[in-house]
Amino acid sequence: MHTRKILMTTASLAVIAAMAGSVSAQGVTARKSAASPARAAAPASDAGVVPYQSPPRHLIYIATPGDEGADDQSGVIVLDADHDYRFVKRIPYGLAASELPGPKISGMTSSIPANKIYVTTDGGSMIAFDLKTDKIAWTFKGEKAPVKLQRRGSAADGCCERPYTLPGGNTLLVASAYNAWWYLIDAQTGKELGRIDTPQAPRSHNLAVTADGKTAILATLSGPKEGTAGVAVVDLPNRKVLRYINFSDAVRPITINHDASLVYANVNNLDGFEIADVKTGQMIKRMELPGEMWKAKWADPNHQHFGHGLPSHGIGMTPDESEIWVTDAANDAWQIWDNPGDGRNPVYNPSKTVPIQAGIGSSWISMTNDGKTAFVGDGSVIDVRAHRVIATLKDEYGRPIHSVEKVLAMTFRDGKLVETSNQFAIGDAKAVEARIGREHNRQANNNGGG
Amino acid sequence: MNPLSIACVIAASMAGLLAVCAQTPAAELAALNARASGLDAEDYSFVQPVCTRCHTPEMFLHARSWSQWQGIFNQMSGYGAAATQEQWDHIHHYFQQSLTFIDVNHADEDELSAVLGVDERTAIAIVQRRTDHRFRTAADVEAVPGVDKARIETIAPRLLFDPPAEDQ
Repeated sequence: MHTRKILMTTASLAVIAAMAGSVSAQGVTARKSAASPARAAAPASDAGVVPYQSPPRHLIYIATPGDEGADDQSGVIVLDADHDYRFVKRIPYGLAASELPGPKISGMTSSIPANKIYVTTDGGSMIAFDLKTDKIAWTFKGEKAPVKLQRRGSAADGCCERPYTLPGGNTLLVASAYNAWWYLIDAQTGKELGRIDTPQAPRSHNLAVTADGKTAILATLSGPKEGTAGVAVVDLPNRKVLRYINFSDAVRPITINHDASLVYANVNNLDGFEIADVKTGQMIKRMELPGEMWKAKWADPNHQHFGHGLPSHGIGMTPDESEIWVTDAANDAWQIWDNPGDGRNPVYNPSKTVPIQAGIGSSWISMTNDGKTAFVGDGSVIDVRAHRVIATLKDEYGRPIHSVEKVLAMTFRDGKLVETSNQFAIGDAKAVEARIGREHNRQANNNGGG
Repeated sequence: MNPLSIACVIAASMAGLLAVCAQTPAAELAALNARASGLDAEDYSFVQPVCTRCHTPEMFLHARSWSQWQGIFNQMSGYGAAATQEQWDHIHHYFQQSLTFIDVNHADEDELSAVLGVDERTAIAIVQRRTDHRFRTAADVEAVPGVDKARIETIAPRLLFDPPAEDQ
């Protein structure tokens, strides 16, 4: 065995050494016959030489079970986005068989510096998984003393709803389970770093944060009927609520533009969304699909397929803010609103409608950072620019995954997380700037062309 | 002398022999370089100094998928292949344009643009077309507005339509 190892090592080294030897043998000929030797300098010196980046690996992490029933799923399902979303593996939560599928997952986020993903559960915990080992790194539980339950099924320790990784990746902002506070958690250790109280928005649920980490929009699952505001506008560095904004009904999913000057929110009883001006703290516009498209269905008690109990539970915008995507449970579709100018006057564009699987709630949207691909709640993968469903996410048994509300698109190099999306689809300053530049160029070309 | 040292000494001896055996006749090498350059002379002037230092062009004059090429670049980099960013850019362009298979019914828009030589708008149109009706032939691809027919005819042997599952 020992001799065999030596021989194998010898043979391997011989091949490598032969290749190295032929470097010089080939090198002379190669340089002499270069078509443009002056331009194509051989990398004989280290000047300007950059290492070849190992190929990126694009993986999709879906935390299950999600909303709208367990869907027979449990654990974090990993799919390969480079190969038609084929199954890679399932990361278990370490539950006993009798406990499966486990509590509903209420949110998901990730951290590049910590190389971790985090899932929050209705079971009263936030669990961190190390992406190198896929093992649980730590578990955060909320309060030591039982809290007042604000919603059926929420945990007595007050943990946890949607999480968000703050810029830099070292701190997580996490909603308590429908209570009037939000946790700040150390992404590496799971230690609580502090909290933000939002007494006038008392049922913490969804959120969005600007890329500079200065502003957070924290949404409560309540509204005027409960005598509360809809969202809190928070100065994050100072952990201080600047103001509250009211909407016409209870706020559900939200999205924001790149600087959080505008909030776009789904609200109860509306197939569409409302827009609020963050600076003034006023709701400024209500955008409805044409009434004939949804009001009769919404009024029909036999029409069953309204995910989360409202016509539109799912909203996002492309990173360049040119389109707002809104789910339309009445018509089993995602409706696209063109969003020109300053984003205050969206226009419904029926030519871009994306039909989805009938009868399956599609109650969330997440996008890749480049805005090219969207993952929606029914498990459809959508090419955003083509407005077409290009794949359906499936598990290792070929079963469609029907509750894809907690999903991350992540890029790895050499096994290390290097890029990650978040669960949301919000505006991005660089993408907006690029779009405005393209529009100016197009306009200039048109003017120049007479 | 430890086992690794022994292995190294033997390897060095064998390497010398292998290197000699590996010499390619000049005429044959010139023909290979001419063939490689004929695919795209400008890009090849960047490819050659990097990718023929250890072997002849014969090693790479075979089409592969883009993900396979990326894996090979990574492997070669591990063996010591080094390049400037400009050279890497041209290497990518050379291989994508001339030596990459593309699965027309599955490739993403970036790969469609790079391999088919179409602009972003046309790549999006291809995705729209294939989700409604899958592409079956090169002629189907040529029918998409914005696609260069001459380019498609040139690369037709590298267009894949519904390859076996293991190749997807």
